[in-house]
Amino acid sequence: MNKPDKYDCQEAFDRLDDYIDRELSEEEISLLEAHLCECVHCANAYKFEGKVTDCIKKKIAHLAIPQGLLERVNKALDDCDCE
Amino acid sequence: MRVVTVLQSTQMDRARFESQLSPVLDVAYGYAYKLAGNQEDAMDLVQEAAVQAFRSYGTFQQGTNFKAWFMKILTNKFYKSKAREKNRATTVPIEDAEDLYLYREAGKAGVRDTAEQIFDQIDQESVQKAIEELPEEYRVVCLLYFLNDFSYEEIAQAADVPIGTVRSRLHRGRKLLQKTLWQIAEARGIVTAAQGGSK
Repeated sequence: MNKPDKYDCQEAFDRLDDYIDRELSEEEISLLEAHLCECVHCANAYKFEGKVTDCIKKKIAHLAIPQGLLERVNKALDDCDCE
Repeated sequence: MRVVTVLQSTQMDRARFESQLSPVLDVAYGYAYKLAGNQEDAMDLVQEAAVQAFRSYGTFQQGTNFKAWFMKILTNKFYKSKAREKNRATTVPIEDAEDLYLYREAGKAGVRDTAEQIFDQIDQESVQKAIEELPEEYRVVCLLYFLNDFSYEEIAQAADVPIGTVRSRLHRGRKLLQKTLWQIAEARGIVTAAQGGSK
């Protein structure tokens, strides 16, 4: 039996997170992208979800280390060394 | 002679440990802050995790992922901390959301094409608060993902759960987050109730 050369909508939907999160194999990516080339609805949903993920990542900025943290950690490691 | 060798070895371990800890300290603090909900508890968590990591440094396999290893220690410290109990009380229960929640709501509201602009109007603080209010099991994996850009395997290591659990928690966490963000957009008038109409 020949292997399908692309996913259907449900198979594509099931892999949405994995695709955005770069967790799919080369073969899965190829089958998925073949579907997205033909299905506007899925392609739009994928594009939209990808943008939402990027936006959230952008908005979760890293916090600057508060003054004193490095000293606290070093002091704790010094004390730990002495034990 | 032997004492000198042991001392030198300890100093080398310390120097090596610090060289691996330093580059991850800022992201570790950010993670700890979002778990604990305040600066003091976050600093305590990072300090305790650093001490624990240094004590266990002999078990760390050089060449593997120090950041994920350290985040696992930090996550475990959080699970055992008083900060966890305090912050748990602030977690708001959220009802489940449909798949593609924002996509569907934006479609119903006729603003799908401008979703990015709508999202840009939601301030950073609100997004961070939305994540901080997620139930703990979802918050941990979402933070490890969105903050660290970890792979599922790295999240599994850091959160000490199987990859399948990472996948399902991240999926549900995303949906809950999307629902909260849409509600914020409605509450702020970024999308009008007439446009929105979500329940």
